[in-house]
Amino acid sequence: MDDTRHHPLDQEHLDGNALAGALEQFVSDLTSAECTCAGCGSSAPLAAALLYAKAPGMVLRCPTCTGVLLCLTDQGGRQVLTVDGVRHLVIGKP
Amino acid sequence: MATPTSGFTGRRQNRDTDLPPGQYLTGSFPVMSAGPTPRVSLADWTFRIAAGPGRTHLWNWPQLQALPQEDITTDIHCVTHWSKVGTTWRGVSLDTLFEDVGSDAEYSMVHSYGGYTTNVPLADLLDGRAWIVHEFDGEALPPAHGGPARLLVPHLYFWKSAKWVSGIHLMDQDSPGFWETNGYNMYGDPWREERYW
Repeated sequence: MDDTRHHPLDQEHLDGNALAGALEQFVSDLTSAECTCAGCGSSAPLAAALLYAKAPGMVLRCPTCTGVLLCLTDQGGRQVLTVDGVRHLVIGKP
Repeated sequence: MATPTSGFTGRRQNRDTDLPPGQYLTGSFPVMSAGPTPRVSLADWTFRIAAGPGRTHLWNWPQLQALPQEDITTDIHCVTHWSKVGTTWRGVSLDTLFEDVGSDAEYSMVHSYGGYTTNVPLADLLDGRAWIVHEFDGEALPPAHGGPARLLVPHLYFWKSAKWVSGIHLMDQDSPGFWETNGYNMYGDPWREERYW
């Protein structure tokens, strides 16, 4: 059995901790991020999406097709974010 | 079939305190919705039970109304911590709808107009514990509360009582629905406070 298939021992990767700095910008202003819907492919800022908050969780839907982009639930202090409906998020301008 | 009134109220000594853990009593009926309210005309409404390939049972609105109707008085418990006691509904028992459905499946996925889904073990839909209801408090069920018809399975948290129900697909293995995919419990027993993963 090749153990390195699941636990590569090479020098090609870093620990995920190294991503912390690069991800900070997504935390600071995520609602301005341009979101592309995985369902219909249309793009809009998260701030322009449709939020349904009177529910067991906060459900954000695509403003074009109303498909679910993401869902944020509070499990009594533990936050769960699912993003199945997001193809990608883009922050900043070139 | 007897309504479940005595079964759901017999254990109660004090309505303010004998609620499932973590619940508070409300006199209102909060509208909870994870998406746009689908508008389904009675002329277009259908309900189906899919028991397997080529084994789909379908009812339209007049056919549902022609089945034996039951009046149900029961308490309901939302996972967002409110409970409402003594709610009154009218509809058709799933025992009636499953009468001619033969299946060895143990699980089901409930589907709604608008795309909502929730999983419920088949046993929890039978034996006088679940209904397709179309009246609340003596009036036609309003769209905001799931009209024309919703599932009522009050012994589980109310997210299992799918609004705008359109069908039940039987499954050999359990699979998560919408809220079960997004952080909520696969079963959802309020007395065991099965809220989350």
